[in-house]
Amino acid sequence: MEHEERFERDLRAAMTSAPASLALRQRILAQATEENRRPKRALAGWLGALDPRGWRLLELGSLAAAASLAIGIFAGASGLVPDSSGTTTTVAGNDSGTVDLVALAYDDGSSLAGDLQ
Amino acid sequence: MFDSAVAVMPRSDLAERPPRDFTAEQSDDGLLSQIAEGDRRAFAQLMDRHIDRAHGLARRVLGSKSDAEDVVQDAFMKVWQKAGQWQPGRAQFSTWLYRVVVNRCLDLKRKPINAALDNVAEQSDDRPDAYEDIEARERQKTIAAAVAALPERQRTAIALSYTAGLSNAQAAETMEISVKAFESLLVRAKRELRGRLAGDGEE
Repeated sequence: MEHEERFERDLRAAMTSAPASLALRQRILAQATEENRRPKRALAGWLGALDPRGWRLLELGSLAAAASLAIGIFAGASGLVPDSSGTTTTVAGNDSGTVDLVALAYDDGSSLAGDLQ
Repeated sequence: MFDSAVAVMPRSDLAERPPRDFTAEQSDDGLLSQIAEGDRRAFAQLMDRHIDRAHGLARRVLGSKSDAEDVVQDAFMKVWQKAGQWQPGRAQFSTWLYRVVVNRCLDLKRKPINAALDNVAEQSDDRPDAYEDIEARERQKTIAAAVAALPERQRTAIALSYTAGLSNAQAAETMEISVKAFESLLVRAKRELRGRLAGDGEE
């Protein structure tokens, strides 16, 4: 019986926990604001679409794909990407007999021979 | 105790509302209806009343101080946000709060744990270190470690009874089981605990 009582007493003492810290109380009280009390209202209409918090992976993916396409079109239109039709092959042949390998790589071969000196 | 909690509130906020008489002890239900109106003083008082037990419970179930603090913070934020939905008289607030804490702890426990068991030696006993005291502390440390190693539900039952100090009926309601089932769980937990302690040469 005495054993049992001691066990109960020790268990109770062992399970006693230190009080919650002042820092925790402060944190909770600081969070208890009027703003945190109500669910955040979504922005109305198209303004909501501008709120990045509402963006999902799919939407971000679509945006990235559209941006990539736009860059591609711009680059193509600006001549940054060589035309694969081969109509404007430029071979930097010169007197020393060197050949522009970059231009060769993009050429389809039809006009190559004529340009070599 | 209440003073310390109120002291940390910004002064401007305290000045927003007409002062209420907080010298009289108010019921949890009364405080909750004031919280529903956005009364932060009432929230501070309710928090001050329950935070130590809720924190102790979470810490015993989780075994981690930081995780326990997160759980308690979440639980009190739920109180702040949902006070308007509280229906007085239907249930005890403390039982509801402990249920929120226990469920959140069990959710966390199901996730990978990154915290070590740090709750074993946390007694705040300022008595002089007489030989008996040292011996008792060592015994309590051993018991706390054995409790921490118990299965989750048994550990929760022990914490509800011995840390939160709930009656069997309240603890059963918190765990959403019958009183009989809770008593049986508690008996099993203590038997398991004794077995483990005997294995350690404690008893």
